Amino acid sequence: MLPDLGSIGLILIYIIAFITLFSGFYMVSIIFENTKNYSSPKPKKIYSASIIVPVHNGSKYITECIESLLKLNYPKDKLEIIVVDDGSTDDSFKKAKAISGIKVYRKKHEGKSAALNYGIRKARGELIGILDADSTVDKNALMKIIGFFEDPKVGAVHSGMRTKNRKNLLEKLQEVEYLLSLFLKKTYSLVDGLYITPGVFSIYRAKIFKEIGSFDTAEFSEDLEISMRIVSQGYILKCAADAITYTNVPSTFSDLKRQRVRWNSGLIKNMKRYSFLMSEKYGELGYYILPMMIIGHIGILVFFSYISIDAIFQLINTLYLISISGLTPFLSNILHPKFSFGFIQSTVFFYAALTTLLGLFFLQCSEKYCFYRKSSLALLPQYFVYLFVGGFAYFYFWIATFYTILRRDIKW
Amino acid sequence: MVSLRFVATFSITALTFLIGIFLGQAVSDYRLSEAQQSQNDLMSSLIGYELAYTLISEHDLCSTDFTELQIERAKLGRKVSELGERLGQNDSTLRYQTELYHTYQLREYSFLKKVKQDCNKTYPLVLYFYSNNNDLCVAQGQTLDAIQAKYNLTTIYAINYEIDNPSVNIIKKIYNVTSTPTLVINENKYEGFIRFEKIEEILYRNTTSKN
Repeated sequence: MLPDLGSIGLILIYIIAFITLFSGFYMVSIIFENTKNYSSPKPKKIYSASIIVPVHNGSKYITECIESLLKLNYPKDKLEIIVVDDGSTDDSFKKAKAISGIKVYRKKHEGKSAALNYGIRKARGELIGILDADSTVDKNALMKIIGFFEDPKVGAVHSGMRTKNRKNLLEKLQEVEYLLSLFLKKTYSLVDGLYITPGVFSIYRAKIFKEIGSFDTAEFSEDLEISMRIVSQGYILKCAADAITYTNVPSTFSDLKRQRVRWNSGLIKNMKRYSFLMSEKYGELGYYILPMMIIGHIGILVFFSYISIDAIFQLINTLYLISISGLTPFLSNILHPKFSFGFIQSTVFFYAALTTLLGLFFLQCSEKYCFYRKSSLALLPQYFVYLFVGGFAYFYFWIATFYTILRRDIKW
Repeated sequence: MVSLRFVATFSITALTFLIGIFLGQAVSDYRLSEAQQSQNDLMSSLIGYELAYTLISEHDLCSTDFTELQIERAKLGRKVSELGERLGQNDSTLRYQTELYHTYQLREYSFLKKVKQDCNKTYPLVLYFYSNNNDLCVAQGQTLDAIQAKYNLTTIYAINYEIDNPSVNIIKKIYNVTSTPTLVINENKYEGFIRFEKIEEILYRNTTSKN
């Protein structure tokens, strides 16, 4: 019979429990220290801003995206909207061109980074914003963001991104994921520990691109790469959770998998490229946030690998026992299970209860500090399903990422 | 330099972690003392029945139903086995408790064997000798669980062959048990793994009623 992995599992659970509680308490300490700092600072100066919308075959969303930008509560003479059509084969260019008050350019298809760089070359604003074509902005979003730039150390600010489509289960789970992720980013940004400004309405100080160069066209995750490059130059990133923006999230599992494989690949590549950020020189980002992020991903991989191997062992053991004793005892024991709570380790139960309480506290904080319009109570069912399936999904995406890397023989 | 927050959070986490471990230990201790209490209760009930056997008439004892006692013993067996999983088989208190449980089982077995003979009862008595980390024993245990569930049998006594205890050693000697799994069904010994259907056949051949 194959070995029982029970004791290895228990040790793993203890390690994971310690790390989870540590990161949970760390978050709690930042939250309590900064309860009054979650709102964005009021701007004293109105900067000129150029918003670039790169689009490639985004005909379905482009009009709504541009219209939301045109409705921005911002002086029109200070706002420049630039649409860069990256060689679309649909009518994205035609639809954008039909809207007045914006600049629309067309170039051959070279990828998102190249389109952004094209837009940066055309932009005239002191601030340069980027908005994915499948996303929209709330009318006050830009005003909530610009106040951060009065601090000269701030290199870029990202918005309070929410999901737009929330119909099927996958979309509903991403709604919770995005909310918790936004809260995490906002909280980390309070201690200058943010390392990414996603593509949904992130605003950059224009001079940054002159200092550090523009987007890397060879990148899978151009937003992560430029963010880490900005941080590596001594700037900090901020999050304006109350600058509300909406983005369309993948509606099917295969689309989600494709997106996450790209994110994971970009994460591996950039963590290798910018591993020097994991140093005390970069404050809490360097000695806590980045290492903890890596530990978290490794933890998911190790724990779910263990669960998978254990499940395979148990299946083989069961089949072996059936081969000895026949099907009758097996079926009878399924029909008459000897269920007991005795198997639950009190210590593990204590950690699990604490972690659940911390999770619920964060969900409540997410609603409050990310200015979410839906109550955390209404999000509870989604939250619990997310807790249950999230880890398995992340594990699967990591396995898919490694498979993709191996198949394509990508050299890091 | 690492911030005060890091150090403080690490200390609080370590403290919480330790509280969890102490709490777990306290619950295990409570469960162990609970098992000890059940063991004591069962032992005094059995002693009571044994005393009654010598004091009251056979007729009165023969009409006594011992099912409740057997059900309670089965519950205790599960508690001891759960504690084994929780504390590990090497825990000295648990080892003592397991030995006591085995002594109790054999005492109940002997008492019911005597009652069966004197009162002409037909209930089956099954002794099952097993050892840990033996695939055939795992399969045999599951087969007996299925028999127990199907016939509501409360007179199966599982004896760990590896326990070095006078009562276990004597019973092994009486039935000349030298390997596991071994079953003794109504005084007849069967060595090696016995399938579900075969056990059913033995029980039906030797027993006309379930109790």
